[in-house]
Amino acid sequence: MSADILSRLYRLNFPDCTKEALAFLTSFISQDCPKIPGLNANTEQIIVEICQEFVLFKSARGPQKKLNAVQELHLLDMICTCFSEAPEKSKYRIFNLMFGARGDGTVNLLTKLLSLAMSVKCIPVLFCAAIWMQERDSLSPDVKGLTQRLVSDYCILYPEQSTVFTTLPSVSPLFACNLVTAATSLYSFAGADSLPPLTLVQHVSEWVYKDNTMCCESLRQAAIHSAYTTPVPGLTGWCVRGPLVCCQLREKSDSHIGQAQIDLMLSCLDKLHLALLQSLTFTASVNLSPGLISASDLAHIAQTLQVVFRPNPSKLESLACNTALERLAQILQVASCTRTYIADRGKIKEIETLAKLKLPYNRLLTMVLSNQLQSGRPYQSNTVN
Amino acid sequence: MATVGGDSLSVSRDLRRQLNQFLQGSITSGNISYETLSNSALYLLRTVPVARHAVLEHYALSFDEAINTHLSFADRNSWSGQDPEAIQQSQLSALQDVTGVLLSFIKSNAEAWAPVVSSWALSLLGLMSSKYAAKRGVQHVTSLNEVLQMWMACPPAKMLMEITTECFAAMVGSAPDICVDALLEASVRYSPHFDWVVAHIGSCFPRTIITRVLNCGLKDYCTGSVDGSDKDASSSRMKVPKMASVVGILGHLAAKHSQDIRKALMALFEASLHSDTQSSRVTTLPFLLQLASMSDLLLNILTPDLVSVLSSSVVNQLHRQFTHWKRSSPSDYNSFLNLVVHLIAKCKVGSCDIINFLLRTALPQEESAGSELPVDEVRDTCIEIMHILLFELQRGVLARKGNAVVVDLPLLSGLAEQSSKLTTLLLQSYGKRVPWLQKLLTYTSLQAGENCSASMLANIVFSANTPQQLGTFYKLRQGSELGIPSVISSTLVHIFNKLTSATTSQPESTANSSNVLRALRNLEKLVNVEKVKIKRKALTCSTILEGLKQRHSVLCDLLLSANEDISMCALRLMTLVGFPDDLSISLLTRLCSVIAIIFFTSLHKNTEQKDDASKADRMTQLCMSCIEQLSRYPFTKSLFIHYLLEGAVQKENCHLFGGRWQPATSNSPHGNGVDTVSLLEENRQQSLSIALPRFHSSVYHGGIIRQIPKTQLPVKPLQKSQVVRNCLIFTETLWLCCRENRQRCRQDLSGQVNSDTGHEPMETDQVNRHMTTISESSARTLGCVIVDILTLDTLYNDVHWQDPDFRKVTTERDTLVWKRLEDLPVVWNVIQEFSSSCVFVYYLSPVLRSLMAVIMNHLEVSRDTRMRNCPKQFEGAIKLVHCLTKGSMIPPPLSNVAELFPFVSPYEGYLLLLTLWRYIKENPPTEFEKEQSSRTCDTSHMFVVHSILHANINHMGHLCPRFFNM
Repeated sequence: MSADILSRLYRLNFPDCTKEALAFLTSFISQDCPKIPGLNANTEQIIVEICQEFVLFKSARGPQKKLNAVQELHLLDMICTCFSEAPEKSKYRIFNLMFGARGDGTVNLLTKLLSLAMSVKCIPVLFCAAIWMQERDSLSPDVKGLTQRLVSDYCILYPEQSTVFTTLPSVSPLFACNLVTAATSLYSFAGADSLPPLTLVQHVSEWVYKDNTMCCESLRQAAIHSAYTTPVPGLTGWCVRGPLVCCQLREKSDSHIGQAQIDLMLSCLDKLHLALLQSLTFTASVNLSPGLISASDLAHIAQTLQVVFRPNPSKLESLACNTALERLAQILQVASCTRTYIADRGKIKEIETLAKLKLPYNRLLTMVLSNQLQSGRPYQSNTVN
Repeated sequence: MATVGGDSLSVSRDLRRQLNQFLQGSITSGNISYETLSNSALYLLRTVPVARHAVLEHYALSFDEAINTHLSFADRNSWSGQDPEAIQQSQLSALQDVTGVLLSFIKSNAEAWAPVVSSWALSLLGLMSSKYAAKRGVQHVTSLNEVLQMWMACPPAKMLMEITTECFAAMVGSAPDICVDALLEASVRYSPHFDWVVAHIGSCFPRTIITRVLNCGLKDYCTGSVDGSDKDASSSRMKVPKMASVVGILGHLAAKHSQDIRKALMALFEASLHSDTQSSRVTTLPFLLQLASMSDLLLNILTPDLVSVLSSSVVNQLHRQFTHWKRSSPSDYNSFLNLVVHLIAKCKVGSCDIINFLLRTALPQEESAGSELPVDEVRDTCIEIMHILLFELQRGVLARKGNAVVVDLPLLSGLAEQSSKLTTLLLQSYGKRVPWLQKLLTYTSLQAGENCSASMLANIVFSANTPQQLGTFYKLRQGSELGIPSVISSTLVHIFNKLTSATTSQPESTANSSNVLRALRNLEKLVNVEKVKIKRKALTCSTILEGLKQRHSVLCDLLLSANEDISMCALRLMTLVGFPDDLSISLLTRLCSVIAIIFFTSLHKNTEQKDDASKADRMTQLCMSCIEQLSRYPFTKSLFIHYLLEGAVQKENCHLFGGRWQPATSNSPHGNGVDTVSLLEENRQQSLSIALPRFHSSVYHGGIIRQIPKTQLPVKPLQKSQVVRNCLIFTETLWLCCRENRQRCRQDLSGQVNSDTGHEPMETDQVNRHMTTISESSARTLGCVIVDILTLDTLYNDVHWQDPDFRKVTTERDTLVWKRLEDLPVVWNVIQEFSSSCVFVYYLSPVLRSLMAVIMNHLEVSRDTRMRNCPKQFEGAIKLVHCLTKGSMIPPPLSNVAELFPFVSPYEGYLLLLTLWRYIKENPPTEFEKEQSSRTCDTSHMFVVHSILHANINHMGHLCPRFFNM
């Protein structure tokens, strides 16, 4: 069928060649990669070459063809269309063919593709990308970079362009979930320089609040894909550190963030905290395997809180710190009660010493921690119920 | 999920439609109308983040088209095809829309949008500028301002500019580095067509742009230089354009914001001094210098401040900062040194400060004592720099001389403007500094030309205090004369202009007079040296001497200066230089009068100040030597005689010569303090009426005498020795004027010896006098002057002697002459001294006659037994007879009557004098010496003499042989 596909494609110019190439790839992959007559050995190689030459435009031979911005937009549009039209089973294979290879700089194109896909609500692309993110680990630099670009596109450059982000969990919950995970690691909320954009916090809190399942979307995939990360630890970190950092920012005079923004941020965090607790409870009700958060995550959060915490705090600061510690205690308590939590006695012990030595006294946290330590096995001590 | 999608699905469908429209329209242009395409682009820009690049690209094309339309429209009025205005309108409205959207983006979220939009707008502007630079209409405009005008008149370009400016305004506060970086990059890429953009933006935000541009340049320079060693040449080639664009931008802004630039540059330097990072410490200064080397404008802005900041402590700190770098990269260090030298040679503004700094650092003199001294390495470096600099300058100057190609050496022209400062510096310095400065000055003068070098030489003459300092004059002159042979004559012009202005503007100020004095002394030294050279035949002709000879008029003015040192110096200089033959009459007149005045002043000084007597002596001698030199002109001779004699009898001076000032006897009615209705007047009226008998009682007791005590002069009478001395000097001086010219050569020589060895002038002149004769014209003048002084009027000033009885008519006048002569003994001296000239005596005869008449009058009526008992008359008679004898008016036997006077009675004396009178009456005096001396005495005249001898033979016997031919 396509012995001379390559030579034909080489003769075509930009929009046509890509269109042909995409069509060929789709049909070829959908047919479970039949052997090309006469060229049996390197079918795989030809497919890769077509993809490289005419979709990604990373020519192995000859001069690099550089698309201008309009052409690139056209290319992205074509890819989106291709994914929409391709049969369900081969979508991820096509995606993997294009963007699966590691470290070859296709992330740039992928980012743009995702941005467009979010705009035009191209669900297959987003889904594939979510899987890709999960496979890559949401904390890897590639994913982080991608997340940053997307956040900058939708939360910074076009803050009022909310419809795309607001509807994102309904369009692709898994993508939203992984995006949040990456975002929480990108913006750790540990100081003025790692502050998430307000718009992002607003969106995320809204998402978690409206849809308690969103946080466990990646956990759901854990059955299929071995690796997973959940947004819960990161979000917990936001909720715990947030009040203290915001309070410090408020006191810093040279901060470029307005008071109104801080107030908004704090209210979002309040909402987010509630949503998190609800999500934890919800996860327990659907009987998913535990793992939304772990004791070591919590220990890490406590540690970072201790870094943020300054000795000799002002009154407002100690109030904020109190809130932070209470939130930590609540999350720990609810997680342990709902058994959505991977316990580790050592880590709990670590948190306790930290709370005792480095952090101000908090009655709730002390009680919860001692309870945890006494009970030994947290998900068996259902005394609270 | 479906509920959520209901609305959003339609939105996404709409979006897809717009997207397709846009892609179709922009890829396959033509199918879709311009407006629709533009609308969908705008829609995408508003809603699809990822499409922004594409949309901006699309609009870049639109802008391009619009500019093209505008420019072609501007080019040609008739445009083929559709209505150009309509097209332009639609284009413009679309562009206005997108401009509005972009501006709103920037306004709502500056941080995110400004970098994106500004880089797009900048690159688009650059592209447009360079693309249309070659177009007609753009081609012809030359100046940056015109380019700016032209582009700002183009609406699309103006919109872009507006966007860019807005971006910058938004970014300047938060992220200035980014925008300036973008600006620089664009500037590099599209230079020089991009300059107008930079200029416009720069003038909108001068301070920020300047600082940032500098910082960017520095950062770039730092990265270039830090790893420049292991990179290939391409990186350094990349570095240059960035520097060039920095320089270009600063150059544009320099016109209006030079102060800001200066501040920014200095701030950068200060920051480098206190910076912690090694790289910025080491690179800032080279960076600044590199900048300066690329633009003279910046160089001029930077240097004055930089040099003023470089105190020795700062230099030491720099040394500490650079030590490591110097050791690690010696080749860089060498090229850095060369750069410094190159820059110094290029500095015009503040050049003097630079030199001063170099000297101060290289060889600190005690002026910097107290503050921190530069360390040895710094000094060595400065010395090295100085050596290279001098070498370079020399090469430049000499190259220029060689092949007429003018090598511009701004340093030298800068120095030329401040040559006076530099010369002062030279004179103040010692040690190694001197040869350096000498060389520098020489190059400067060679470069700047005659006027400047002349003024420098003049400065030296005016400010040199020691021989060493004056020595620089020779060095400099030697150097300058290589290129400017006529430098000395213009130097003299400068010197004398300064002298004139100094004396005319504020003659009293001490600074001025000390300056003048110094200059004169130095000139004197110079002249002395020149003379010695001439003497040794090392020099045939001295320009200085010749030049000075032309400038006696100025010196003459200086002679009258209130400061005696100045006048002394001027006089000395004058004598040294000598007088040329072609002095104008007016100048000579002035000289004569001034020298006469000084002569008398010096005598005054001599008598007044004991401690300064030697100085006054010298002055007198100088005057005399001057008079001697000047009296070789016939004209001046008589002038001097006039001035000297008139001076000697003046009220101010007469006491010098033992005279008394008698206002009553003066012929000018001075009358200060005396009533205007004076007795003198009345007496005169009386005396004019012949009817009154003219006894001395009527004259004296008529009231003249009474006036004497009223006008008693407070002058303290001088010691006799002084008077004698003064009189001698005076007569000597007169002699100098009266000598015959043919003796000149000899006298010149003796005069020379005089002034050199300090001999007593009298002795030598005594010797001379024996060998000289009085010139006839001088004798005539002298005689006339004395007659003028002593007599009231010319009525009876006939040379011939009338009948002896006629003296009754002239009694008053005769008495006056006698009286005056009594008051002015110096005139007696003069008469005696010069009576050997018969011409003199001939012209003097009215006075002699008056004297004789007075004596005779007295003797005739005297009741004394001996003539000796009337000492005045006795002495007068003896002197008179001597004069007459010497002047050959009475021949030998008769001339011996003076020997009889001690032994005769007054009346006999009277008779003897009468005899003389009669003889003279019969043999009237003549001017011709030969005729005079050939006369012999008739025996008839000897009758009275013989009879008196006979009558008193008892005590006159021994005198007989004098009167009888035995």
